[in-house]
Amino acid sequence: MKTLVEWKVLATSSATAALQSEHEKLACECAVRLGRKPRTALMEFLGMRYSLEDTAVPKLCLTGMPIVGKALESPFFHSYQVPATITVSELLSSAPRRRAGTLKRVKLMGRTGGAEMAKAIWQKTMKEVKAGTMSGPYTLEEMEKKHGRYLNLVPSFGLKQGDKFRRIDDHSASHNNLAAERTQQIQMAMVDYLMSMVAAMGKAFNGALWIGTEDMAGAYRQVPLTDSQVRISVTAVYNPESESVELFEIYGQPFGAAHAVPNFYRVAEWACRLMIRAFTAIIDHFFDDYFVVLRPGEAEGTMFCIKEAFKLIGLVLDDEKSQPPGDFSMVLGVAFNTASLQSQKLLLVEPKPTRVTNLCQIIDRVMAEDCLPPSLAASLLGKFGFLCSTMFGKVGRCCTGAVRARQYGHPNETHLTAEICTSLQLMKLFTTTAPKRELKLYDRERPLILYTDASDVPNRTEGRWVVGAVLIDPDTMTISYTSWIVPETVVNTWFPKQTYMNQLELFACPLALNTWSQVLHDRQVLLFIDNDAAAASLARGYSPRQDSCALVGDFWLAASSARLSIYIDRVESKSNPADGPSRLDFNLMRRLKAQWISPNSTSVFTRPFSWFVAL
Amino acid sequence: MSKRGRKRLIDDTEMADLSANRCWERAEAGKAFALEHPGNSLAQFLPSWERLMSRPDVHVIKYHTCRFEGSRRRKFQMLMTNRACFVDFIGKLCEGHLCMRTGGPHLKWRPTVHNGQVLQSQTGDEREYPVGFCKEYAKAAGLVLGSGGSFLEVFSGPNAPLSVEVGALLGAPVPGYKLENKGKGDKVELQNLSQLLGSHPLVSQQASSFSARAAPTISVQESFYRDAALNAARQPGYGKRTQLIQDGLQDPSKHMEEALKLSHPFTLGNVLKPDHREAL
Repeated sequence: MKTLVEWKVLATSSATAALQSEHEKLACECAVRLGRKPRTALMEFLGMRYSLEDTAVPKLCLTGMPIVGKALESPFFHSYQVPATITVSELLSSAPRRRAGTLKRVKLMGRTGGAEMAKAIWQKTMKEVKAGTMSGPYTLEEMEKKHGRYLNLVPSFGLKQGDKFRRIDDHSASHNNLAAERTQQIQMAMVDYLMSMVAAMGKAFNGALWIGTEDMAGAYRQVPLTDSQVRISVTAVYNPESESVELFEIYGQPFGAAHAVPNFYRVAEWACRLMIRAFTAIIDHFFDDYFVVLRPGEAEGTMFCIKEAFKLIGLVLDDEKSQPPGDFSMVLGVAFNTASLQSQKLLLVEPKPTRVTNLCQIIDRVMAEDCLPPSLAASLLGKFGFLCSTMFGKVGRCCTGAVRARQYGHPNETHLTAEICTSLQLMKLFTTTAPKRELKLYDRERPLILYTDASDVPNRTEGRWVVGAVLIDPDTMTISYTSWIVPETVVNTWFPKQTYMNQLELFACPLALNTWSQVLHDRQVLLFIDNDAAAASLARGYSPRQDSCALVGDFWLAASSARLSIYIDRVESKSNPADGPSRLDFNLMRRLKAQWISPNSTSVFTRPFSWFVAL
Repeated sequence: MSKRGRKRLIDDTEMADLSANRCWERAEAGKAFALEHPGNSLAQFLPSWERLMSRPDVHVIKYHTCRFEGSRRRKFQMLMTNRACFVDFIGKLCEGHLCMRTGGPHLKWRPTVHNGQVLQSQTGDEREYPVGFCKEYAKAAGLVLGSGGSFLEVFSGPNAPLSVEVGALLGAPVPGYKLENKGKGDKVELQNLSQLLGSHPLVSQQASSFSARAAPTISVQESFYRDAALNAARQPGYGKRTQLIQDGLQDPSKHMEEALKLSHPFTLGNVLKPDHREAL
């Protein structure tokens, strides 16, 4: 609060006022059109006070930022060169001859998108005009008269996202993105990092924690475009009333322009670092979404300071999207549940209920209509993949094989096959029933060490296929091992091959989890495998081969039901202690005085491969 | 199938059909042709290939590349032609574990892997026809062409070694110079070192340093967020992980000893940005 008061004093000081009036003289027309909200003088003072690395941000909020040519560079990001495909002069010289095609394209897309979408997109554009971030509508003649012959048109089209419509300004089609030279890459904080933030704070304060969120209003439109580039961003929008294409000038950073991403992100990052350093807040952001981890007692005060601070520097937050701190918060599309943090030291990350409902509805519709075109398959996989990130371990990923195949199939193939039906039903089942992703803040016990291996030796007297496993409990320093001659009945459930090494190596893993189910419960495990293909499949939670994928699925189901935090890594064959048991050679185990455990193959037979291929 | 895979399949099928159809046309016109291809390729089941192979004047000659100087891997290939003289020069198969030409073992096909990372795939070495094959082919081609024939190689690759040999035999050298692969020597050395892995500790050590060099470089920020994911109980992709215990121990007891010293990667500690650490 004291800091906030100091800021308020600084904001109203004569020095700030004098500098601000100097700044206003530098403001570009785009910045003026956007309303000149950022208090750049105060931003400059605060930037110096808190040693913010990117000192150019306040000035750039005055002068605007370009979207073609070489990208501006910020000390916040690291170097990553992607050259432009065409030069700016090529962009400009080709603009006149592309104009007619662009107008035709916008008209066509406006008409084919349907009346409802066209109306929504038009209304959105007019809303922007009212807000001052765009101006128009203009005719082509008016724009040519104003901007000259190098005027570049950007086609826009509508996209339905749930119940809402979004206007996309296609800067790739306008060739603007081809003329954009990228110089840096941005690594963004996402769900994993927020979990890391919560974990660190949970360990530091050992109490309850809440998460609150803030969102910048019309984020990109708070950052001005360079005046000289308004002419290359004249946006063409379909007007459903006049059934014609009308043109608009845009003054903020346009969605769809490649450079708009780093241009906006550096402003958002600047504000984020300012909040951390000024208010010692554990806050981060993904584009315009800010998330803060807070202790309940301080939550209200910190959120108040952050809101007021944003107001003072003139970056506008969207009050409607603001989420008060709580122990169940929706952040970046997932639900963070911190309710068990204090009592069980457990952070749960759950799917957002609306996302689950949405996916189930799509699957039901696909099943009812018996129609899954490749584009919808891709969309479904994207949605399901995102939901998988909220499931325990890598559970759930195994069931997507048939839908993946459809994703890359022929556009005319839309009928559902038996495999696709199973895949869709499993996706639904996993989405609704899979255990949630969790993060244990403390795990004082040392991890259990598990080694698995398999052998396939034709003509071996005891049996051709053998799997083995060794478990070490570092707390009790006990070593136990198991081994099982895999009967032909099991191998026959896999697709016929000359050798079954990959399947056997995979099969050894769920077998080991079932065999030591008493010990392997709610523990951390390091699993060492000497077969890279099997290890990679388990680490990914998926295999392109259907029979292997079922085994991977079995493994993760076993792991999730026993709440095992498993990390999979490689061991070279000659260092793998499970190599002996997998060859029915127990000399090393006897020398180590290891304990024999009978393999538990029951679950293998109660849930054969068929669970995966047909429900 | 991925988009890229599908495109490759379509392109390859088109090339295979084109080759078979052109050969068919030449055979119909009584002109000589030779079509070389992997022996187990699915292309031979294309209708155009089946049609060509069913011709009574066409010989399908199967051979292993290792039977020719310059090849150390047993690669199964086929040569389809309507001239019988190729059969004796090319139709050489290699049977048994040891190479019938060198008497030694064949080089392995599996990729060179060290510490769980693929250092090199071996297919690059087999990109061009072996020198010995080109020489034998040229001898047969010389018989077919006589003194006044012409020779054209389609899909020859940048160095066209077959054309070079045939041209040399006919006294018509192929112009241009050989395209050398940059860093090829380094790769060969790396490959040789990797094949010796485990046999000598020094070699193993050297290969480890090569492995470090071969590993893709990632930025500090990228590495930071990867660690954050690990800290949030998410294992990275298998290829992106850092192996907990490096290869080379070659002893189960030692590996167990090392494993017992490990902490679980999900609880390695706080992964926080400096600002957040400071604020905390």
